Amino acid sequence: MISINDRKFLTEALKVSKRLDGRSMEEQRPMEVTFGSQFGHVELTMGKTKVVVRISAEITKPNERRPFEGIFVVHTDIGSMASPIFENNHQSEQEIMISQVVEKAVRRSGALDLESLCIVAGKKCWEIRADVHYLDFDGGLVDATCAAVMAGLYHFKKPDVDVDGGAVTVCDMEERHPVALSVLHLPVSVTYGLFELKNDETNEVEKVECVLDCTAIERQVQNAEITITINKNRDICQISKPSGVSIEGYRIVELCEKAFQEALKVTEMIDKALKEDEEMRNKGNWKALLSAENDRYEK
Amino acid sequence: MNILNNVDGSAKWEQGTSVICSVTGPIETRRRTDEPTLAQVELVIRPAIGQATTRETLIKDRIYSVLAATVVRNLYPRMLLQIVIQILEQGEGTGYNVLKLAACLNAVCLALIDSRTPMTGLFTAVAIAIVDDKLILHPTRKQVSQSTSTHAVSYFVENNKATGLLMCESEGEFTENQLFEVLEQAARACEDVALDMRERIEKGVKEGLRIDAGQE
Repeated sequence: MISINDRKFLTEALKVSKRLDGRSMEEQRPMEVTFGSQFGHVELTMGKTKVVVRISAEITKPNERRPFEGIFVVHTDIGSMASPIFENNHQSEQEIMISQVVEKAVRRSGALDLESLCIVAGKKCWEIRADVHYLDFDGGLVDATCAAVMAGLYHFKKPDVDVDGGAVTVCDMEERHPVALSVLHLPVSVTYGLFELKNDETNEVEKVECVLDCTAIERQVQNAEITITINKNRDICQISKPSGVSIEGYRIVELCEKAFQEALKVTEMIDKALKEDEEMRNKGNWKALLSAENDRYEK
Repeated sequence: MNILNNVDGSAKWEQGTSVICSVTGPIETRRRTDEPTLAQVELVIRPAIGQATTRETLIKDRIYSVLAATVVRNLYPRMLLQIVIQILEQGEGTGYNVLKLAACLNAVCLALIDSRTPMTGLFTAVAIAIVDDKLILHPTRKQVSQSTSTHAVSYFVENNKATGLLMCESEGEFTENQLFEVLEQAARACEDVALDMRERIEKGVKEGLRIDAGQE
């Protein structure tokens, strides 16, 4: 909860384009990604928000309606470790909202090629599971989750399988090189908080300010929020604005353009982190030794 | 210690496995408590992958038994102490939970101290595996899977001396003599862990004091 004084202070500051943590209106907190020793273990920090994602794979039976596709599930469960405002084993409205937006951004945007997860049509397929653990909460959960899950999917490698007729053997990770997932694109979520700034005397709404990446305190004051999921190819995967203050159409187009710039930055950050991790794992250049690829040269 | 911002106390313990623990409390209970004179302890264990299973429930039960003996619950009647343990890295095969149990207990102890929850004293835990009739302290993943039996032992430590056995969880086949040897060795190892813990706590308190002084 937030006191009336704090609320007033925050909105007054916004009127003169100032934020509590000194950021500008359109400044995202820098994200930092670190990978664990195992594939698909990602730790992402964004300001004080901290998220851990574990990607895992297991063989199951595919959905009967979609025999040629694998299964991808995202589990987002916010416990009281993130903040005491969340209850354990009980989903609040806010939590459900977050998990739905994440679901749309990551799963329904078709980021993961589900058909490549099929092993034997209608019988066996991979189930890729992303477990998201929220360690610390300071706003921006959707953005952080989306980036962390995508980084995890890029980082994860599943064991290779051999299909001989109907029999499937899973090869040991040490015996055969594990295979990466086929990720089609990298959707990035960008969330803006909308604040109604009122005139002190007339109490009329002067303008609606869009503020990027709200912290937990700012979230409590905001009148609405809008999440845009976009990738570096300028494909908009979703625009989600559940209830709250209204905003003109042209401003949403403007926001999308700004979100695209943010998406570029996040994509670059994830790419860089992945590359660094790859280099660290590739010490001694064993990858070149294991490769069966011939040198290609032009005639 | 003290790594999370929104909770009263937190700690991370890495020893083969990686475990992070948070403590919030005493806060108001949301449900009616059964015991009107004691604080209620809510313990949640989240595995790295998947939903909590009976394995986590077993760890939870063991930790409860240790907490019952160490946390001074009668100071906060009808209040809630919320403890969340997040396992980040399993560190051992799916059939085992010695390493996890020992790491969880140590993390809980540090987090409780960080949150300034009144306790009767310090408790520490160690994992021991018996491989080829040999005792191995803090076993690795491979040693755990090769072992004939595994033991997680927790002691109450007073003045750097292990004074009381709080919990001993053993799995596998072992003889009576082996168990006594395990308990003996575990007591010494728990003392070492306690010394290490004290150092960390001292460091944590010093850093904490510095931050407080800076704010004034």
